[in-house]
Amino acid sequence: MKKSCSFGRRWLIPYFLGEADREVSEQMAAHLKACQHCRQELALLEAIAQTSDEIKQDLEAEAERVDWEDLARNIEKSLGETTARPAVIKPFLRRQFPGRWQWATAGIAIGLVLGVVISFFLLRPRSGLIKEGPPYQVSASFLEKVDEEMARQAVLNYLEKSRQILVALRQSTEESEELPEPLFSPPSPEIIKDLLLRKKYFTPQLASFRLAKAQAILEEVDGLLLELALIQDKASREEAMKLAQLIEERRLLLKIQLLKQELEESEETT
Amino acid sequence: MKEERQENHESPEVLCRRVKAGNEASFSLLVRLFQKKVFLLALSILRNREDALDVVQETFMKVYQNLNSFEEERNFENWLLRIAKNVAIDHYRRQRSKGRSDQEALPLESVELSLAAAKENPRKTEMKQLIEAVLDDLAERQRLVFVLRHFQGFSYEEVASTLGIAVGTVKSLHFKALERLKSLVGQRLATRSYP
Repeated sequence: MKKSCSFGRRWLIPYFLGEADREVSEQMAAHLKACQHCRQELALLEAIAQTSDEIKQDLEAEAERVDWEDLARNIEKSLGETTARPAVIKPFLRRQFPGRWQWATAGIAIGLVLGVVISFFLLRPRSGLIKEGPPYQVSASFLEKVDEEMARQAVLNYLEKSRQILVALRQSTEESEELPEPLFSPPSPEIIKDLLLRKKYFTPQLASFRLAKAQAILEEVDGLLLELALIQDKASREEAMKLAQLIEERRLLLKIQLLKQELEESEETT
Repeated sequence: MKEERQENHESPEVLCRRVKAGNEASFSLLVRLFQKKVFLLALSILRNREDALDVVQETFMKVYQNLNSFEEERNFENWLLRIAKNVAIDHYRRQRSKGRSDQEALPLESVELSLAAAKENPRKTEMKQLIEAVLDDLAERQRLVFVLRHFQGFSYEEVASTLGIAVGTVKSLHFKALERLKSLVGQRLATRSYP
């Protein structure tokens, strides 16, 4: 007798269970006639199945001996001893996405959220990628230097505009000596007011940054500008000459030039 | 079982809805409808009457406590049997890990069958004991499939829904279980015949 049979090993159980197709069943029936090993195996399977049926009947017989009413009462009693049935809160997903498509809906929602988060990290400004360091701090001395520089620039600007006005005034008196009336037209009061207003704001800075010399010169210029602001339309020969004389006496143009030079040089050294 | 259900005129799902709404009496009806089925399932797995009765009780406690999570569109019986199966397996594993003595874990038929019956047909009893013994040597899922299919008379589909696996997997596990049982029973019989 063979100890094993490959055909039987593959097809005996499906044949025994009645799950083999007709052709295999016929082959197996023919095979069983010739193969004693497979006949013994089949007998074993039948014994197992038959015994299993008997065990099944035993189990059912055992079930018949149970006092079901008593068991049900015991269960009810146990339930009565326990606390009330907890009000189960539906899981988050079920609450948010009811129905049989909840997983698909939840998947789409989670995908969208992930997409937004990933997009944020990918597209955020590069500065955001810089490792966070200590907060940005500027020293007081640096801020002071910035203020000083701004004051210097403002003074230079003021000086240049004033100089242009004063030069124009002086030239007009020189050119108009032969003419009955000077050609000098003072700048509009708005321009002068604007200049004085600007100076008003940088004057405290001049004091702070020890630009006292500049302050003194600028005050002199201020005086002239104020007078010019009072002149309506065109200056009379007398007024123009008087102002030109003042510029000359006080050497304002020279002072302005020197002050400008000094400020520009100090700018270069800083 | 079907007759009992017809007497109640209500499906388990309807009864569940009522319990959820606060009608505790409906839960008693559910217990009476399914306690035998749960007991048989537990008994098939554990082969011990007292343990099986404990499983019935524990199963219905769990069902009661988790009833709110049961969705009414699902099949209540499948849900219940799956819980029962899990509770029974927990018991079975505890039994095995505790290494219960043979005396405590006598196979069902050796406890329940009368000695007279055994004397009447000792070969029959021997075969049952043999199968009971070798069932423990099967892999857990093979054993469960065999037990549900042969001791419970479940269809492949019922086994699949109780275990929560595919029908194809059930068929495959059943084939392997039969093959292994055949081999183990054959070996034991050969050893007894030719000691």
